[in-house]
Amino acid sequence: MRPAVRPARSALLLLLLAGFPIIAALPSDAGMIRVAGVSVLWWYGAFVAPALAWLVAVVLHR
Amino acid sequence: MTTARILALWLTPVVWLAVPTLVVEGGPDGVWAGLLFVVAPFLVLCTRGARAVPGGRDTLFPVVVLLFVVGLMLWANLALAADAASWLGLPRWQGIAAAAGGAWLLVLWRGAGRLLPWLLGTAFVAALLPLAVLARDAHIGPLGAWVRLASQPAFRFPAESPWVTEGREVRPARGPSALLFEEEHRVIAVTPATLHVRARDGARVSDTDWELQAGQSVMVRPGDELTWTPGARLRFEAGKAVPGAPRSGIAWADGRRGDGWRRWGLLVTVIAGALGLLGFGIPGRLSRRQMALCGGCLVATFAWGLGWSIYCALGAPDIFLGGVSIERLMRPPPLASSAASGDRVLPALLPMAGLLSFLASTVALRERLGALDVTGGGEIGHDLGLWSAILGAAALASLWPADPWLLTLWALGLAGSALGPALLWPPRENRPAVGMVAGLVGLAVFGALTAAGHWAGLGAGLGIGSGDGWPSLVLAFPVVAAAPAAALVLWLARRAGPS
Repeated sequence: MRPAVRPARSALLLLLLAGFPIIAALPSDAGMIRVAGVSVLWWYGAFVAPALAWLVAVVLHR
Repeated sequence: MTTARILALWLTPVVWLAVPTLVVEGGPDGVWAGLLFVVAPFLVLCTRGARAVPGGRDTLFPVVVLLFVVGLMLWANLALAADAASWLGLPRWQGIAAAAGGAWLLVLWRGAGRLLPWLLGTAFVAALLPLAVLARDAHIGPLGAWVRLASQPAFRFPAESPWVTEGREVRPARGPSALLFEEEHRVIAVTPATLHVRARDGARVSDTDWELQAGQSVMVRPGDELTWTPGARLRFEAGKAVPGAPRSGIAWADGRRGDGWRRWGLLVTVIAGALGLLGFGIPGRLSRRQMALCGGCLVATFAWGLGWSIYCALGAPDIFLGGVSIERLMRPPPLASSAASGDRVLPALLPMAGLLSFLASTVALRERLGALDVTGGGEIGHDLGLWSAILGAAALASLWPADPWLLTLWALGLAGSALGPALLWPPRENRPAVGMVAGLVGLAVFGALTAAGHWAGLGAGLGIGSGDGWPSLVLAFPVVAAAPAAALVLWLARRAGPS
């Protein structure tokens, strides 16, 4: 179990990180669309990604 | 205790104060930097197994590299202490003496490691209180504050700004020292000053020097650039756009265009640096509870940085005047006003948090090196002569202004280039020298590219480094070339097989 978990955890964390520049580079400034007043890019970078990273690191911790 | 050690090691004052600075300066770029500093330790602590510290001669190279890394980090933080002192109106040496003196005293006390949780906890509370006061004064929650900030039509001088009421010395943040005006603006000299105005009329450029007495003014037009004699105190007009600020809140929230390559460069630098700095030598393995606590503290620090930057920029748009630097956010104009009105405690809290965090970091950095000193029983972490020399050299270097953020990135890049690859792909046990050769190659490439980038003005510091896209990447963030070079040596050695 352990060898499979570690790469999965690292890959998930890297994917979470990669999401930010990808959203920023979306065509037609899609990342700047505001949801509840705050842009999608800021929601992701300031809230979604850190929270998910914490969850991934803790839940998949062995 | 392990959690506190990791936090103190990773979150030096330059790092946790640079995040809000970068957010104020570049909007999403700052969020990206903060996100990296939250996630990179998770990545390293996830990939790090119970990797034994080899001991003996095999740890000599990592110890020497980490000594340089620690030296750079101390230099960065002492330079910040000096900048903060200067911003608060004190001589640079006083800031350095307070920080370096405290760190040196802790070298004398072998039990200083026990203080780490207390130092960090007190620093966090001391940083939280001014944020709570700014939020209370703004009468708006963090989300509402962001929405209001990101909807500003322009960042204009408030009537109560010290640059409007009594006039102040304008100290440019690192980078260009000229103020570029977006609209017509009357600039008044509070003290005798020589102002230089560079006006552009189509392709024609004209330069004019104005010798002003106290109370005299000069009118600048949109597109004019203003420079001034050092020490000159100037006043600006209330309600006019702050030179150096983004055009609007929307422009700030959207961030700069075409800087994607810098984001990838910072990603590699921070992750490789975390690998080198936290990769091995920290005794024990984090339990799930420790991981949750460590991660929670990282996320909380990031949230603090976001909140601090948003309330600072919302409450004091004049913070943009002449560019944003880390020390400005240690006492933003609203807190400077409360200091002027006699409240001495509140404005002192954030500098105090920075000092406590620095003291915790010095202890953790020394313990970090001590953990590698298997044969010496960790004695290197308490060597009074060694640490006196390192702190003395860093203090001396800090007397001259240097960009703390750039120095921290150099430290992370150095750790990542020289140690990172060998930690990810360790050489065979019977060939430990291969790891050192790879590290030396990484070090050499990193050093050469850093020197070339610095010479070409393409560093990754605050307010500088406006290279043209991807070609500038390796000069601004040398670790993107240095770490693969070191990894290539390891790969070639593996292919060559056991000798």
